Amino acid sequence: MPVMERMGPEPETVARAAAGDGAAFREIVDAWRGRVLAFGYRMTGDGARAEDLAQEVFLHLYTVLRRYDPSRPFAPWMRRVMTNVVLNRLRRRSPAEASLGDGGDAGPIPPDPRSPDPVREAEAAETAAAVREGLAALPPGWRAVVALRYSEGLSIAEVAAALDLPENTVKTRLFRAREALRGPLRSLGEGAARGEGKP
Amino acid sequence: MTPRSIPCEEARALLDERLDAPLPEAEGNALRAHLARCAACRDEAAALDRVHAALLSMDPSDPGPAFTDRVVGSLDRAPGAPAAAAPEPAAARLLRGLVAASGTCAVAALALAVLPFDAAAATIEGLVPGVPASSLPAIPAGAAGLISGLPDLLPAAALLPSWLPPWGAALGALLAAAAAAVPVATLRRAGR
Repeated sequence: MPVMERMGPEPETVARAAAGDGAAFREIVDAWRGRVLAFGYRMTGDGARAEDLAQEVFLHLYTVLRRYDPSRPFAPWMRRVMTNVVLNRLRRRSPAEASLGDGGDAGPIPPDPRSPDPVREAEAAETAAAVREGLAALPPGWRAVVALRYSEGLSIAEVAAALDLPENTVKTRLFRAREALRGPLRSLGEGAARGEGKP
Repeated sequence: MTPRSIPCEEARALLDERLDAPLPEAEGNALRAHLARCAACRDEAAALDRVHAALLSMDPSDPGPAFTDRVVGSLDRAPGAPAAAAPEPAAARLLRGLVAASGTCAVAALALAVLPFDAAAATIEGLVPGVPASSLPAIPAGAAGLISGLPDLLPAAALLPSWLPPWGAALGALLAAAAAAVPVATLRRAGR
């Protein structure tokens, strides 16, 4: 990950962007593009929809940058903007639309025949597809916890701050989300698990 | 020290917790001891690790700078966006200069037409430094009566109100200058 992406834009850059400087705003988009897309992808399971959502996030950011307090860190504020836009957008849609599995990237990825272990590759592809489908069944609020935790590797405290939730709520949602996601894997993984040394 | 014995429910909670933060040593030992004797929890651990790995690796392809270009290109469609400080186009700058020059000409012509000679000369000297009053021809007596019919809009056009678009102000100023130039030239010819 580029240094700038981890550090975020300088306060002067944010101030210039808030005043309408297009070049400064471009710096912010470059610094945050990967994180916003990764969050959107985990929320939708579809690359094209993740890009649409990311574009909405940045357009909204452009209109609210003037409200940013430069004396506070930019990243937590930016995450709030991002999660608010994405959650509002998903909640405005019908439950079916708000879930994943609309065919975009939801199909299992075929294993690379050049892979040294095509069986393991196939299992990983099946797991990835099952996890994407499992995410689809989660409420958007749970999905947001999972997406923030995994798209940026945030701590529980950072996820809680981004979503304005108590840390215990974040822990509970993560636990229940993972529990729900590993359910479909039990049948998929029985073969693999049997080979890992049951007594 | 013998690890504490824990039930499956507690072991599964610890299996989840270890994904977000390292477990304290005592709890880690208790979990390892439990997994050593519980096949069901080992299966759960394997499934959980696969979910964890899948979530970690679930990243979209990066569209790169093309995405940034698209976002920046659509900023003018964002409602309530701050106004970008766009530079004035060259054509607008040219028109603005034309307006100023035409306005100066119009005021000079008007001054020649309506003011007594000395005042007109002083006005033109003020507008165009370096033009001596002595170089101006004399206006014959009674000439002011001939120009009393100048269009009323002449001063308004020459004053170039700032709310006019550049092309409108330029056109108005040019018309004003032309309208003033005709009687002035007539008067000058009459004065020779």
